Amino acid sequence: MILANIDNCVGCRACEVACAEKHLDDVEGADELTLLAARRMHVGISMGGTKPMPIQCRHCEDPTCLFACITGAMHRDPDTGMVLVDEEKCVGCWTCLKMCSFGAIMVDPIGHRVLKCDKCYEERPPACVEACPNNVLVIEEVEYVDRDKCIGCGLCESLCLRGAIKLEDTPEGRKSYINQDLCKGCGICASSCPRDAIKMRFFTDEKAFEIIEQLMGVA
Amino acid sequence: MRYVIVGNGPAGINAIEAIRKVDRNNDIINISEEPYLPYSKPVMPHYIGGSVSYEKIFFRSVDFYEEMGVKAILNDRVVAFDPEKKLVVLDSGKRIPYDKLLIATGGKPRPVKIDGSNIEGIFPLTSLNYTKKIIKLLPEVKNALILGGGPLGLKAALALSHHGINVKMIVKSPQIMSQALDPDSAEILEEKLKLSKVELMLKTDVEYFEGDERVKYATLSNGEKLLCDLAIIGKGLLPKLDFLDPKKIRINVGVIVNQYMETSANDVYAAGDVAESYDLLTGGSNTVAVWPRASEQGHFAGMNMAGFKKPYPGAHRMNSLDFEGLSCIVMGDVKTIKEGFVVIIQKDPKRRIYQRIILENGLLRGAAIIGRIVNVGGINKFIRKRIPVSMVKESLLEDKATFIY
Repeated sequence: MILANIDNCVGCRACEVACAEKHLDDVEGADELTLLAARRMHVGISMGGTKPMPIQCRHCEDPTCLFACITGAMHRDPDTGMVLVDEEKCVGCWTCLKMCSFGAIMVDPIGHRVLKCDKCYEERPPACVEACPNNVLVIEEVEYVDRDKCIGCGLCESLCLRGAIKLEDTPEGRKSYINQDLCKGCGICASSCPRDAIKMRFFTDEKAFEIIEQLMGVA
Repeated sequence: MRYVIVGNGPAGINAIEAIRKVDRNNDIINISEEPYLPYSKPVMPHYIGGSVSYEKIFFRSVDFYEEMGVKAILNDRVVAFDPEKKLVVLDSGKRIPYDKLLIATGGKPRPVKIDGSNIEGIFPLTSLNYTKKIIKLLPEVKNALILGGGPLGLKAALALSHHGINVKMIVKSPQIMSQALDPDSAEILEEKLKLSKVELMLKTDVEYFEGDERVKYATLSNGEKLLCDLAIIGKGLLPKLDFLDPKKIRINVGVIVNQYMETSANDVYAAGDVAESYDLLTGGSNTVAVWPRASEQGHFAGMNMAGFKKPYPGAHRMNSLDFEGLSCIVMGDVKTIKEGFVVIIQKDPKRRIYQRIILENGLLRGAAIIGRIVNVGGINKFIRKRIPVSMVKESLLEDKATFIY
């Protein structure tokens, strides 16, 4: 998951520029002068709000943009679980724009189509996270698999409602793999694992106590 | 357990995807009267205009049915259904029992009472078969008529004019898009149409068509006789209720559904253009035929069929189209003005920008945003969720605000 710690955001737009640079080749006719045309995320302010924040696609569980798309250009990539747009197929009807309440879909001013975050595919970290000078954008793994304990039984795969867990063939046999783009940290897999192989990063006892202490002003 | 889904438009396909998300094992059968894989009807004008190739009119991959583990029965029509015995009967004589049935048959063109409208060369724009015929005729066409001023007709008019055809739009109302847009907004689009060499004839209608093998002339209600070798009828859609018997299932304009997309018949659901569902703005019901409404309803129907009780929040009218660079996005109702409604208008005629939002008791009722694309996702969310807008009224049409959550 890409998290945004907006308390630190000063609206410098370094993430936008990094995103645009990264995707410059995808937009025909975009050059350094029209650099921002290629960006797939932006820094915005909530309606009525005052604080800037980076806005990129949330890769929702039931994406409304996917419901909106009349051509099927907007699709969920079966391998990575990301919501992507097939830019060749998009006809620029703008239906997805009005269905996305995050404002995460960008209009390509040159090519009459929409552009959106692809999380820089499998590359880690994505350009926006890497460029952020203020630790606003960070990438966090919410759940992880202890592969020494995993026996590849596949229970987690069948229980995950988001399709975020898949079994993978590894030299040590079949092991489960969590797709961090899809995982929303619900914890069903962790609680069901017969070998206690799936761990939650955040909601440990230590973490919970820490939060409580902070709230009570002890720490 | 067997799911039977009638129709493979956005509602049917999204229902299949929703069911498969939570139920990977039970049988799904998808019946469609057309012989094609799921294809997109709103893309038909783009296909005629040549900007979209044949391969790209299909909105899911060619392996969709295999990937989803769905048995598809294409080119066969449901002719009857028996909610008591829980089965549907097909044209080919097959009888298919179901445990859960989804009616997602979509819409059919509103019938027109014009003499000669059965002559060759006059088509509605509602299926791939018609579109193929239109494309085949194109090289011989010099003068085309579009009847009706809806979004699909507008797109078709522009597509035909790209082929160098003289296009005339015949619209009965005093403006185009009379169901969705207010007269001022429509005027901007009308101007743009003129630039695109589409001649607009308002407040008139075709009285009768003439021609032997092919259509040749159309005579208007004012007596004017026009050359016409192709006519496209786009006068809106009605729910397609062919095999449905009002004695067996509750029907008003469309099939009436509750918030779980259930019809009055047991284990029978309906979604998409055929369904009459809750209207967010009026509190009544509507049968608006728009793509996102159909997909969303299909999704909710699928979830509920698979046993997940998931209430559907309701829908409102919306349209969006792009006139060769002039975008037009309409959400909610921008036409009705009653006492107490607040109308905010912002315009910049030089840049062809016109924005209009309508507030009722501090709630957003509708917005038409022409010439730019700003905040549309946020505005739509305000309408859908009925969130008071007093705090953000000023920033609704500004560039800086971009979203709400």
